[in-house]
Amino acid sequence: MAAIALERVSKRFGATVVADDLSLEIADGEFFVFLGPSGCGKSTLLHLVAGVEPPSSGRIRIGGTDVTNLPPQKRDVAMVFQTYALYPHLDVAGNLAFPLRNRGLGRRAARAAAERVAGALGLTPLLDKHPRQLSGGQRQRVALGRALVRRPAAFLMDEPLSNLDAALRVEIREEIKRVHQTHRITTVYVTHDQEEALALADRIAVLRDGRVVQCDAPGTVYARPADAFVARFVGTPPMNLLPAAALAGHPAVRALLDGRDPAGVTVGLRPHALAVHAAARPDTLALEVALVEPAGSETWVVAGAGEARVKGRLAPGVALAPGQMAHFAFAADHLHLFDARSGRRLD
Amino acid sequence: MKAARFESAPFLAPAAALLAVVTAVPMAYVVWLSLEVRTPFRAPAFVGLDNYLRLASDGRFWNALWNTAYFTAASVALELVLGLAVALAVARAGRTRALVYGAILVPWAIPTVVSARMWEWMYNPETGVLNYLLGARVNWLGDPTWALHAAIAMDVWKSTPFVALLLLAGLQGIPRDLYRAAATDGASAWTAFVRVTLPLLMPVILVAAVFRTIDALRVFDAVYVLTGGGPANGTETLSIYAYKVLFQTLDFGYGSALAVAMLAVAAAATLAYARLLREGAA
Amino acid sequence: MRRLGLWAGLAAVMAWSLAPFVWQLLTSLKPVAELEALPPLLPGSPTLEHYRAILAGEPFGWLMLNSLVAAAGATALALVLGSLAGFALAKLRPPGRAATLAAVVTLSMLPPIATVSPLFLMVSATGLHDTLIALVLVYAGFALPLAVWLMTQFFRGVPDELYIAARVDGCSALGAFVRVMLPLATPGLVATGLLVFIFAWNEFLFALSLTASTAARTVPVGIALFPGLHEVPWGEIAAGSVLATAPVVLLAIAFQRRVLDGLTAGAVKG
Repeated sequence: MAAIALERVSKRFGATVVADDLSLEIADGEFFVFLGPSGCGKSTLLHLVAGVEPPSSGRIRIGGTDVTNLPPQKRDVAMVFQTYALYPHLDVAGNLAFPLRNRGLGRRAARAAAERVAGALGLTPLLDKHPRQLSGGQRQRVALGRALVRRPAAFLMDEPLSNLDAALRVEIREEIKRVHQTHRITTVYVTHDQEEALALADRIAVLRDGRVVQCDAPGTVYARPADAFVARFVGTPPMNLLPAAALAGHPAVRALLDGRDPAGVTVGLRPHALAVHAAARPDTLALEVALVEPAGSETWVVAGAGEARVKGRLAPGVALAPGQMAHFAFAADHLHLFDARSGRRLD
Repeated sequence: MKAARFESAPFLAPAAALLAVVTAVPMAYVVWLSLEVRTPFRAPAFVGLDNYLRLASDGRFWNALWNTAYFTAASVALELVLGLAVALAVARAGRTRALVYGAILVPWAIPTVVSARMWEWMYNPETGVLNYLLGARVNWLGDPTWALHAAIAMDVWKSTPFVALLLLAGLQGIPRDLYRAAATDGASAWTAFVRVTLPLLMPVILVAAVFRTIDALRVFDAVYVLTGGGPANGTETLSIYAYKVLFQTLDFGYGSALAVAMLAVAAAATLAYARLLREGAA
Repeated sequence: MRRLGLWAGLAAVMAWSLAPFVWQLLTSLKPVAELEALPPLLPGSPTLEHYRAILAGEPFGWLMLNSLVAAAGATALALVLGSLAGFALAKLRPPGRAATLAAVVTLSMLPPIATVSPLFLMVSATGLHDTLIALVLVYAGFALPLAVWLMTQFFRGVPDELYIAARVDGCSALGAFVRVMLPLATPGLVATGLLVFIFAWNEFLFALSLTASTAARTVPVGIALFPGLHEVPWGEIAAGSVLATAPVVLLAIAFQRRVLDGLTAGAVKG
C-alpha cells in the first residue's frame, strides 16, 4: 500500500495535450477517481502511473519512491481493464497465478494463492475454465482477482464497469467497494460515469482538456461544483443553467448577485431542487411546459425553451400537461452562481 | 523514461543485421561493382560509368528490356482478369470451397522450375500432350513467334491462384448490404459488378498488380528452364541476360550494371504504383 | 441452372489448376516405351522404374535432404528474427516504425538478380560457397521482409491491453513476448513459417549460383539441370518433379487455412 504523487506531469501525443502540468497527491489507501468525458485522456493517466507510457515531463512517485524511470514490471501496481484483458491461452487459475509466477513464486504456492483469491471472489468452480467460456461479469471478477492476488501497492482501474450491462455493473461495483474496504489498497479509478464516481470515491478529480478542474470529496463536488462544466457533468439529471437575467426578479437571486451585472452571471439549480406547481405562487419561475417525463418515484417537468429551458420535479399531487404554465419553486441555499464567460463558481 | 524509447532496439537488431548483410550490403556492393571492370584473369579496375554507356548502346539489353516489359504486361493483365474470374466463381462456392482452395493452391506451391519442366513436357513438339490435343505440330518453345507466349502462358497458370486468393479476400470484405441496396435500386448483376464490386475491390486489385508486376519483372526460373533465353534471344529477359553475363561470361562489372538497371526498373514500377495507391487512398 | 454453370466453372478451374501436375504424375508412371508415343494417355503398364532410377542413380536423395535442411533452417531463422521484429513494430512503438515497415516492404521488391553477383563474391570470399549455411542465411534474409511484415500484422491483431497487462503483471518486454504474445500469435507463426518454407524450398537462382555440388545443391537446381545432352530422360524428370513437389503441395493443402491467412494478411486491410 502506498501513496501516489504526480508532480507537474505533462503528456503530449504530437499536438494533443492529454495531461497539462498535473500535480496531485493520492493518499495511502485512498479510493481516488478520475472523472471526465470520454476521450479526455484518463486512461493515459493510468498508463503513466503504471509505467506503460513515459510522461513528456514531470515525475511520478509511488510510496515515496520516484518511479518515473522504472519499467512497469518493477512498479508493484496492478491494473484492471475495461476489456478485462484476461490471457485467452490460460485458464482462470493460470490467469490468477500469472502475476505471482512472474515474480518467481513456485507453481504450487502460486496455485494456492490463486485458489484463495478465487474463493474470496466466488470463482472456485471456474478455476479450470478458459476466459472464452465465462460471462462478462465472471471475467471481470477474474480480472479483479488477478489484480488482488499480489496485494500490490496500488490498483489502477480503467473503466472496469463500462463493458457490463446495467445490473452487473451495480453488482461488480459493490464487489470493488467491498474489496477496497477489506484490503484498503490505494486505488486509482478512471471513469466517465459520474454515478460510479460518486458511489465509489473518497475523492474525485474532474478532468477536462488535460487539467484537473476540481479535486474534492464526492459530496463537495456535488454540492459545490467549481465551475459550470463540473456542475452539469456531476449529478443526474444535469443541473439547470440559466442566465441570471431570467431570475433577476427573484429576491433570493438578487441578494446573491450582490450588485453583480446579471448579464455576466449564470445561475445553477439542480432539478431535484426545483418543485413544480401548477398554481401561481410568489417568487417562482413561470414557464410553459414542453415535456412531462414520468420516472418512477418522481416525475420530471421540462419547461421553457432555448437558454431558459428548465427541468424540475413535479410536486406531489400536482398534474400538468404540455402547453400549460408551470411554476418552479426553489430555496435560496440551492442556488449556484457561475461566471457566464469562464464558468467559474462565484460564491 | 528515455530507456523506453530504445527498448525495442534488441528486438529489431538481429533482423536488421541479417537484412543488412544479405540485402543492403550487396545492394551497395553491386552499385560499386557496376563501376568496375571485373573479369577473371584481370585485376578489377575502376571505370566509372563506362558500363552504363555500354549498356545504353547494347542492342541485346534493349531486346531483353522489351521482352521483360512485354512478358510483364501480358502476364499481369491476364492474371488480373483470370484471377478476378476465378475469385468471383470461388466466392460462390459454398461448401466445396476447401476443395477448390486446395486445388488452386497447387500451381502456386509448385517450384517454378518444376512447373516449367512440366510445361516443357506438355509443349514438346513430338510427344507433348498439347500438340496431341490440338492435333497440331507447333514447336511451342523453339518457334520465335510462340516461345515468349508459351512462357507467359506458364506464368499465368502458375500465378493466377495468388491473384485469385487476394481478390477473393477482397471480395469477402465487401459488405453484403451494398448488393442488397443495389438490387433494391434495380441494378442488374453486371451493373452491380461495375458500380459496387470493382470500385471497392480496386485497392486489392492494385496490391495484386504491384506484387505480380514486381515478380514478373524479375522472372528468371521459368525462362531459364523453358527456353534458356532462346530462340535467338527471343525470350531473353533482363534477369537471364544479366545471369549469362555474370556467370557465363564472368563479366562481373557489366553484369552488375545490368543488375542495377533491373533495380532501377523495379524501383520505377514500385514508385508508379505507390503513387497510384496514394491517389486511390486520397 | 445457374448452379450448374457455377459447378462447371469451378470444375474447370480445378481441372486447369491440377492438370499439368496430374499429367506429370501419369508421365512418371509410364515405362520409357510409352513415353515416346501418344495416344496412350494413361499408363498401360504403370511402373516405378523412374523413381528407382532417380533415387539410386542420380544423387536425388541428397538433393532432397539439402532442400529440407536449407528450407527448415531458413524458416526457423526467419521466424525467430521476424517475430521479434514484428512484435517490436506492433507493440513497442519504436520511433519511425511506419518508415521502417515501408522500408521492409520495399526490400521485398528487390530483384534477386541484383544481389547475386555481390553475394557470390561475398560467399566465396568467406569460404561459404557450396555450403548449406550460405543458403540458410541468404534464404532467411530474403524471406525476412515477408516474415516481418506478416508477423507485424498478426501481432497487431493481438489486443494491446494484453501486452500492457503482461507488463504490469511483472513481465519484461521479452517476458511478455514469450509468455503472452507468442502463444497468441501461433496461427501467424504457422502461416509465416509455411510461406517461408515454400519460398525456400522452391528457390532457384541463389541455389544455382551459390552451390556447385551435391554438398549443398537443392532439388530445384537438380530438376532444372537434368542431364539431357542427347536423350532427355523425361520419365526421370517427371518422377523427380513429383518428388520435388510433393512436400510443398502436401503442406499447402494440409495447412491451407494458415497459408491463406498468410497470403492475405495485410494485403486486404492495407
